[in-house]
Amino acid sequence: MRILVVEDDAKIASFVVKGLKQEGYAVDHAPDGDTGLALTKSTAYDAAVVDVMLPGLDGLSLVKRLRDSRAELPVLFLSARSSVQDRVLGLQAGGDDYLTKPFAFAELTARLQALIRRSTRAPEATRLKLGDVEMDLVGHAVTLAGAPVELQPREFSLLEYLLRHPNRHVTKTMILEHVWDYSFDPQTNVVDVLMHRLRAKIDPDKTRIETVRGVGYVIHGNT
Amino acid sequence: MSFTATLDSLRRSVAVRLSLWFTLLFAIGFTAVFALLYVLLGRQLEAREAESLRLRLQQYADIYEARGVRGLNERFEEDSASPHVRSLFVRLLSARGDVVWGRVPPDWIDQDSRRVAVPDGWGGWTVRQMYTVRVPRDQQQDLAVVSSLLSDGLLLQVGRSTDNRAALLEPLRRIFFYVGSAALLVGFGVAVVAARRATRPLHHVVETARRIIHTGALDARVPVPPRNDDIAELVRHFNTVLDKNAVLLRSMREALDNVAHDLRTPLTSLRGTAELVLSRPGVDVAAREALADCVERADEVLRLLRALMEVSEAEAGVLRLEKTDCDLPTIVRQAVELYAEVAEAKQITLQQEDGDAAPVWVDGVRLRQAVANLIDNAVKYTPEGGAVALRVYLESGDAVLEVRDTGPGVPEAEQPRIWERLYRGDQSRSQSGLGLGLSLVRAIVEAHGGRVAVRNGPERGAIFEVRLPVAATAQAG
Repeated sequence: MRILVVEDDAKIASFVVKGLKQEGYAVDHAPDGDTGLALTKSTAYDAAVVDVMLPGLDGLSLVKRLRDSRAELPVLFLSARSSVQDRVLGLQAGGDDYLTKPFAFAELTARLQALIRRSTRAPEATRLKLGDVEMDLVGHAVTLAGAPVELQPREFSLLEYLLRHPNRHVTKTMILEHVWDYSFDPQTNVVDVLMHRLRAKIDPDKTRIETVRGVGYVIHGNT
Repeated sequence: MSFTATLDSLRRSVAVRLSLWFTLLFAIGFTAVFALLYVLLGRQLEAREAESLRLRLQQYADIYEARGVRGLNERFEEDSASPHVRSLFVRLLSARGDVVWGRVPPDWIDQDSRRVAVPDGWGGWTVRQMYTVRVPRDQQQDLAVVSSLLSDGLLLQVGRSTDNRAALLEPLRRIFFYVGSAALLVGFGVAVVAARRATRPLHHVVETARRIIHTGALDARVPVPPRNDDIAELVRHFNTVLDKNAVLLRSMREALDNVAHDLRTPLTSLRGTAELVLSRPGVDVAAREALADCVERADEVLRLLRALMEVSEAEAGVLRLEKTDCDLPTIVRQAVELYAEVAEAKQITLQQEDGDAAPVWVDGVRLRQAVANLIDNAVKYTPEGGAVALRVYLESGDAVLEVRDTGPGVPEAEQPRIWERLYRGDQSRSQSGLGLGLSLVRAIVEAHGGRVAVRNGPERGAIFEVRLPVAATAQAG
């Protein structure tokens, strides 16, 4: 998997490139739009991470040019502007997803994976399994080591989200967005409370779900 | 719109007020002209009547002087026989008021004749030779009588029943009434139309101002009226003010955007770099803790920055709102769901009571954030085992959300201050939070044209209230 990162801020570019390499991707970096466009013509990428505000050719125009030349490369926009209007502009320009700065790196990789998965059209699973945790999405049933576990709808939804990202970091923001469809930080940590309840039911021996301070949560297990 | 509201808007309309004044003045003027005409015409009629009687009196006096009562008798018979002469009344009175000779036509009322026809002070006449009197007899007729002192000291009177002046002028009055009312109606209509036309630019000004306030459409301008009068000047100045205002707000928005961008970029790389190390296995525990602190602090600063930006934008009126048709109870329910587990963990009964459906035209995401902040606040201040209840109801065109808790309530002195930026009541020092939650609630609600209020419950706890205008489509239905 080869990813193109078009970002003018050297520090951000540096940690994004480093992080993606750590995740096992091959990464190229372009510090401005023109370089980025040139790279897309010479190399076949699986996805691109493009900052909206770039010197020279800006991110929106870059992606418009890409789409004009019928390139189907999945694009994830990065922007310091968070309004819905900016998001709509980004998607209209041909972006596939939009991430607002500041972002958690875990969220960047999760969204990038989703884009790549969507473009390769992998079928959605109806059963999720990780270690001794099994989830039947159709029957809404969960078993732990073969024994059924009763979960509230939101606990179910949280577990599903964790199981879809096995052995990966998920942030509180990502959980808020997927479980509650809520894009703001509530002041009280509602994610902690829900996670606490889920752990009591699904991880009584505290071996499956790990809290990584400053990052989020990871669910461990063999797929 | 209800009847009283219509009446109220009519009372406030400059156009209607102007028209009423115009119509009133028109009515006064018209009546005055008519009254003058009426009086003049009446006088003229009377003068002509008196003149012809006087002429006849003079003739009779001459005949009497020449041929005595016999001559008068003959002449009277002659005159009565001729056509076009209505029944005449002729008599001679002595100085004591006795009738010496008289011819009274049958339609005269005899017993009245002496009283009505003897002029005041008769008997002592020295200077006055002629006397004219009109005596109203009934609705239709008057008596016109002229009297003259003869050379032998007798009083000769000639009278005639004549049409009553009022009856004579009746058709004139009727015409005046019809023409006058028609003219008034037409005049009022014309005045309303003219005044409406003249004040239409003012309505545009009001509409534009309202649109800018409610929708934040900064590019809205008032169309300049074609005629170059003082209203056009007002409109031009108003537009200039709007232009300047828009430029100011735009530059302010840009400045805020730039500040946010300049702060976010380094914070993003700070946070990202630390997070990357944290997500790698095999890092020293102490370093891990330090980096986690960095990420958490960075998140805190970013959250604060975001909230401050939003409060500032909302207060400056440049907050971008993506308004759609929403149902307030649904938004409340979503926010309640967010806190369900948190409340349960604290053994607080958090529930949304049954209320009214309340359609509102709002940015659903932001409003949900505002409601969530209110719940957050209520849950935070309610002790374990307490209750937080939310209810939506309609009241006089407003959708009202009430959030009641069983906490300590808000001291009266602090109630106006809790909405201020970064203000935190004494009791909350031990609790976490940035003190921006409630100011964000107020900013969001006011950006939607609503209001917030807080009061204490009758027994305990605080009651927070959010009032939003009900969506216009629902009001019409």
